[in-house]
Amino acid sequence: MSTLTLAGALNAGLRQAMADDERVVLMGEDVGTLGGVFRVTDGLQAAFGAQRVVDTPLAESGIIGTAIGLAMRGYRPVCEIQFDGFVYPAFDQVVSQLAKLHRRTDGTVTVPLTVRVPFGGGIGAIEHHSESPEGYFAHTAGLRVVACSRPADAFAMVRQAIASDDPVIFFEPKRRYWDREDVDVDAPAGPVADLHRAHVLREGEHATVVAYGPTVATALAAAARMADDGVRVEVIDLRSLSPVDFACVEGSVRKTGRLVVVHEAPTFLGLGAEIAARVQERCFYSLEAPVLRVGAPNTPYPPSKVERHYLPDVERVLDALDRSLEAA
Amino acid sequence: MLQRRGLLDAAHRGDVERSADDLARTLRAGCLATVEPEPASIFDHVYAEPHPGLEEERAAFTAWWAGDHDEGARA
Repeated sequence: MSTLTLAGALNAGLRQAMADDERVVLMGEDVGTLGGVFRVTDGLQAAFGAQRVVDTPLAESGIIGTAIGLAMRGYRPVCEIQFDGFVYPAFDQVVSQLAKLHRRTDGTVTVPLTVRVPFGGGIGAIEHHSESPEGYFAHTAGLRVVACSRPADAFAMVRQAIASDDPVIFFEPKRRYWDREDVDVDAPAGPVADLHRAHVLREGEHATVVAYGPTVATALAAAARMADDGVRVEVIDLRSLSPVDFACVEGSVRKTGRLVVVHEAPTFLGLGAEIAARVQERCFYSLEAPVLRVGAPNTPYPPSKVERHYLPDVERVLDALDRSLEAA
Repeated sequence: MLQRRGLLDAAHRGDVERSADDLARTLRAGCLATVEPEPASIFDHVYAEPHPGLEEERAAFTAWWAGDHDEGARA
């Protein structure tokens, strides 16, 4: 067991995946010599060489396009998009090519490509460095979309993503990169299917909170506060945004009757909207209150001096839980 | 390359470093002196024309901000 940061756990996972499979190659801006701006790939070029950890030009479309070609020829590339807001130049390659190649070739070509995207705000960054673009990708068939939240989980998730024969968009909550947790660095990755299972991190029977990525810690903190008042809140780390583990969410809602979905992305047409729709379709007679969403307003990400007003925090989750519990 | 071509000597290098340090000081001071915008400014200048969805969110935020909330409760 080692105590690792989230960034360190991802680094360990990448290192293990590269050691296990020589087809795994890393590509991205500053991932080699520098080791990534968040040091997630620190030391990997020294360990595996510049042929397997490739510093690319500042051209996201070229990074993904080149990686698609490599994947079609048998490699398992892992691309780093340096910041969430830089993924848009690669959007056409991801949505029009990466997502559709398996279908376009009648299933004869697989594209086992992982795209790592540090996402979300809360680090005092400038424009283009704090966005939550996961909804665009979850809305695109052919892509698998996941978001890690904790070091121990991320260590397994990144290896499962790399082992997947489908393209995986892998979101990493950058404001949690320095969170620490004990990680069993000898643990096997586990089956790829585990990548798409939601995890119940805290059990409860009065209300359910679903979160992913950076808001999982927020949800857990809110649940701890509610426990002080004798309210037991179940917290689910969704982990997979496409596919969504609806069985886990529905099972929890049938028990608690109340659901709050929390994410940093704008609530308008976000993951919470889809989850709310599915839950009311399938759990209508179990619901004691409307499904509530806590997220950002539908505005551009604001300047860092006011980002705390934009991001969901514990107080807003508590407010939503209070409103849910007061209903009916 | 500049040194090989005789375009960068020690004096010129010192000038460049002093100039860069001055610029960095000015930039840092400017950043530290920025005034915190009003919280509801998040909703400003998103569209040139009125947008009902945005105005609904602005109203909800303003009501929330005017109410009794604990700004310190964050994670």
